[in-house]
Amino acid sequence: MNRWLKLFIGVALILFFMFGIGSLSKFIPGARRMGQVIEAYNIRATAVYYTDFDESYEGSESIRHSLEYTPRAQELPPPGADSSP
Amino acid sequence: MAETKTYSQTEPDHVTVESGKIRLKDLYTKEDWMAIWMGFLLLIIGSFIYLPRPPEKAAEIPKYNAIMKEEAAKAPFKTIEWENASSAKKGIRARDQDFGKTIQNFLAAPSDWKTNPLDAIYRSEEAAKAMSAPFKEAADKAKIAEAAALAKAKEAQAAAAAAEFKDTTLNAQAENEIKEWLTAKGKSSKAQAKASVKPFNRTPYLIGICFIFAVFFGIGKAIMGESFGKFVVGFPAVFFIGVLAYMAETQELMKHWGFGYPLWAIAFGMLISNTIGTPKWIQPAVQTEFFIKTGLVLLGAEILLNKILAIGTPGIFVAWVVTPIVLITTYWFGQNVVKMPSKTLNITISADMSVCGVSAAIATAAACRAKKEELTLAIGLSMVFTAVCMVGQPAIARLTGMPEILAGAWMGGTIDSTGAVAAAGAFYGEKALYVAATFKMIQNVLIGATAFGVAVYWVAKVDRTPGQQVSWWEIWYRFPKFVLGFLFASIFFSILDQNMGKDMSAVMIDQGVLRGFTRISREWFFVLAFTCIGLDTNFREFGHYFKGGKPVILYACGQTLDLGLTLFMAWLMFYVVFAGITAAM
Repeated sequence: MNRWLKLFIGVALILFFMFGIGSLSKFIPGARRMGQVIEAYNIRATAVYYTDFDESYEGSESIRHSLEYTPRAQELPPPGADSSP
Repeated sequence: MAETKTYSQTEPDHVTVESGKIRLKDLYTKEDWMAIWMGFLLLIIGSFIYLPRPPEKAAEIPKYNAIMKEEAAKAPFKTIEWENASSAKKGIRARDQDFGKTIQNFLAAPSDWKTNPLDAIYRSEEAAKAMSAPFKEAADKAKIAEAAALAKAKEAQAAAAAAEFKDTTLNAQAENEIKEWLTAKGKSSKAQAKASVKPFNRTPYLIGICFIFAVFFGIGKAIMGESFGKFVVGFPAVFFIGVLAYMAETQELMKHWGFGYPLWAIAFGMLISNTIGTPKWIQPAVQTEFFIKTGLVLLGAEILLNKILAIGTPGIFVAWVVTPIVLITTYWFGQNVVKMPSKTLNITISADMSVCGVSAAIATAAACRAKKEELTLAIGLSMVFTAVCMVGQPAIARLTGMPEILAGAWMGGTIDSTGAVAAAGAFYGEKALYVAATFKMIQNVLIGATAFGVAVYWVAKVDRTPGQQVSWWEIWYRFPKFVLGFLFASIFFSILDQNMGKDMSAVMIDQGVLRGFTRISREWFFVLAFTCIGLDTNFREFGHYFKGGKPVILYACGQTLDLGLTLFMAWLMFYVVFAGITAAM
């Protein structure tokens, strides 16, 4: 097969994957909602490291503030206290 | 097109190759060392840009800390003032200063798009206005809702304060109203962002980045004794494919599935190399190792060891106990039960699956000198499993009624891709999002130890001939030297992070040097590296790796162990042993 034809077929397959198979997400339970959540929070779901998206910073700083400045009634209970989920 | 071939014969088959014995000359002729110097140069530049210029607002950090301390002592819940102080403190970022914004704007990747790829590069004033218009009304409504929620929260808090915070019913009411206000505030902030879309034209910046990186790496190649000219001629083509990979990632549907630039860069590169062939004039710029190693040295600076304490003791137990157990068990299982055809493929898949997806796969593959096809295979598997887990795990958590913190820890510890973890967490709830993202951050830090451990194990055990005694010198000779740069960057920035204090380090290092400069450069280097992997990979070579579906079996078994063990340990640590910490979160 002509190599340029191969390239053309490859590009067509990629476009079919992106716009054809990719759009199947609306028929998969949960996937459509996931797309809405990603858009609503503007999350970079493709991030490869924690520095690639803001939520890691927001989350870790929120937790740090909560642990360093814990409101008095939420302070650590004595060991052995029951707090199962 | 006679001067083309299906894949390059000039680049070695491995992600990285060993450096051999060290001579003084190696320090500037070997890629490992050159990657270290180039990475360090960028880290020094980033430090000089950000560290001497703290934002003016940083002076207000003690004030916010005092407010949170005072409010925490006063009320048994996080008051409005506490939340405002915490939010204001998180908003202080060195990279938000004018010079930081300029740098980020210059180095930015292509933007989001739906149907027209050119939208990723250029957005006119009219298009920006048209995109903002439908959200203006929603943004105004969200603002009004936020103000109403705040008024109710203030009222409830005042009632609780009038009873000196001794009435548990009033306290609970105030706490609930404050939570409602925070939710409304979050919605309002996101609505404002959607209603204020800005125009841009990335074309001149992309040309600028291409020129700067071509000269930067070209000088490195020239110092190593290779042709500057040939590299610079081929580089724009590699960069262009990298930009296309970025654009594929930012397409709306692909973004939702979590199919990121590594997958697309490899796919586009392979499409060219396996059809029309990689042209000869591009091949001098196909420098997988050089880009990966330089990127990994920069990544080293992002491995801040103090981050492992971010979620307290239970986080360390779950992330730093379960992950190594799953990594080692999966590797053992791959060797002894699945009988994987390649040890390097086995460890790359095991690290990718158990630690943190693509970033762990890159670091591990480089440390054990895995073949490019093996890294590609591990990343492909990871992306498919990530897409499934990202949707499936929140659904399972919901079906079983898992508490948010447990669900966040479970998803953070088991979904491979770092970004997908945040998406799955957000799907379940805001607290789950924060816990999941923080948990993944702790796990991300493990890649330093993983890469070092794998590099030592490989040179000392795997690469030796049976019965051979390997001396410490031999280990040193064969050790991939760029790993030293990677570790040094991690240790140096961790010490800097420790000495600056948590507050200033968050503002100046995390939100300055790293996220404001080196992280963006590192990502570009990884895009280039994956493009080169694609341009240098023969599709036929994947065939024997898939024999018997062994990589898939290994991945599925390892992931199953990870899911079960992480869930058990997260429950044990967050709800039995350290329940108090969970209550405080």
